[in-house]
Amino acid sequence: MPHKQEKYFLESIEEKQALLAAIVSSSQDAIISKTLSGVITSWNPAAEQLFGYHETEVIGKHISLIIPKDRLHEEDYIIQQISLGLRLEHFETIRVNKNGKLVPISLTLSPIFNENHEIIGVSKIARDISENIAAMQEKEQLYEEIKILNKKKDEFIAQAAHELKTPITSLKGFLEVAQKNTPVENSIFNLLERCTRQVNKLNVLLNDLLDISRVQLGKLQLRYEWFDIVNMMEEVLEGYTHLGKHTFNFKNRTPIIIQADKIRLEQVCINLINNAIKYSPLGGEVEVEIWTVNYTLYVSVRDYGIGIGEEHFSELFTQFYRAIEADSYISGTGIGLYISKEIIQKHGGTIEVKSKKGEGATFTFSIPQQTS
Amino acid sequence: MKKEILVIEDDDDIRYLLEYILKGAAYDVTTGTSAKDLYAALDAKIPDIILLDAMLPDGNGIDLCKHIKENLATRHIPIIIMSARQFDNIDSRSVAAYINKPFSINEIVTTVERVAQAN
Repeated sequence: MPHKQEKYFLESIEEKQALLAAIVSSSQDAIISKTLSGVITSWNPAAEQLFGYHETEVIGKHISLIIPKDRLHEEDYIIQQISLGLRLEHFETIRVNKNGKLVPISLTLSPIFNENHEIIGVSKIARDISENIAAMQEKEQLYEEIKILNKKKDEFIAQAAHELKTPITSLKGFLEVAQKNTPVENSIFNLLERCTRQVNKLNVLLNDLLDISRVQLGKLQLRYEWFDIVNMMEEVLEGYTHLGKHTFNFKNRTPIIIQADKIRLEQVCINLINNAIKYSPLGGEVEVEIWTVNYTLYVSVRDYGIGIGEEHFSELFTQFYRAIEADSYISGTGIGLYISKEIIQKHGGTIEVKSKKGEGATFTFSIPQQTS
Repeated sequence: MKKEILVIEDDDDIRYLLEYILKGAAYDVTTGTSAKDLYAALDAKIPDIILLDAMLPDGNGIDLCKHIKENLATRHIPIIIMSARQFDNIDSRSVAAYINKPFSINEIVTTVERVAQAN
């Protein structure tokens, strides 16, 4: 399309007015002017589009034509502000179009001054925001639905895990009865013992699932008590009777009395030790250390296994995340560290990892202790 | 004289297991599967201990505990509650002991023994 020669400085008032009129009439936003008493004095094509009235139908009419009855008081407020020489920006309200349909709009209102700086009217720019509002409502609705679904999922996990506990209870009991009635030298005894170990593993998995739903539903509660965490760790380590290729190195064994949820901290320690063993499949030393500095308790577990690349650190403590490929020969659910982090955070503490791929990993958690 | 244990548990196999364990530990055992059975059994004969599942098809163990403790004829009976859920909101005064499911035979026997001796 051929352009007229560009011209930046308009000489005559007529030329300037013609340009302004062109801007107003081609604007996508409704632009309206009215007197201070509310009588409409101009009405651009976008206003016609938005409100359905042609210019000829509204010029000389009062602006209340497009204001819903229950919002008429807004006009008083607008006029009051404008009379003070103030602007109103992004005033979100509702107007009514020719068909009686309500239209949500965002208004910007400014006083119009004459050459003597007297206010002679109001200019009004209205933008249709029905799409924004609809999009926002849809987003809010989706968010609510997701929240409800997520809660349902957590409740379902809790319910399913509880249901599974019933068969596990009788399985475990009957296996124990059968084992008690089987002589140790009988080969069946060993099979029953292995069955029991598997049932116990199932139970641990279910407890993890229950913990997940407890955390998600905000129901993880701590039961504080005073205890010697060094002694607790010794008992935990004594529980590992089938170590095979691994050895424990537990340093500084002087008692450290702390106040915390013993069962939950034990759970975290077992999780860290299990991971240390699991992720050093070739065996080796697992170093455990407990110490305090400035009323803060530190517990660290170090292994010399496969290690973790730094790119996994930020995700490592999130739900269901595993730093190794899903089809890896090392099994796991990606729940342990997530629950451990929740437990430590609930104690007001932190948990972190130091590791390099191929060089093992050190997990350390710290919990503040009262200064009494 | 043998002490009498009333076992209320709706799962057939767990009830069978408990009966087996407790009879083996030389207790007399009566069983029931519901809150209705519990009240009927209490009307018939007062046991020495009640071993009660926390979730029954027609009532929850916590409410049942309260009822038993409110009734003059039954309030002295020690109650052991069993549950697969964590005991978050139990009034510990109305319960003699808790047993988490899954339990070991040893846990059942020692807990019942301890409660029996204390009462």
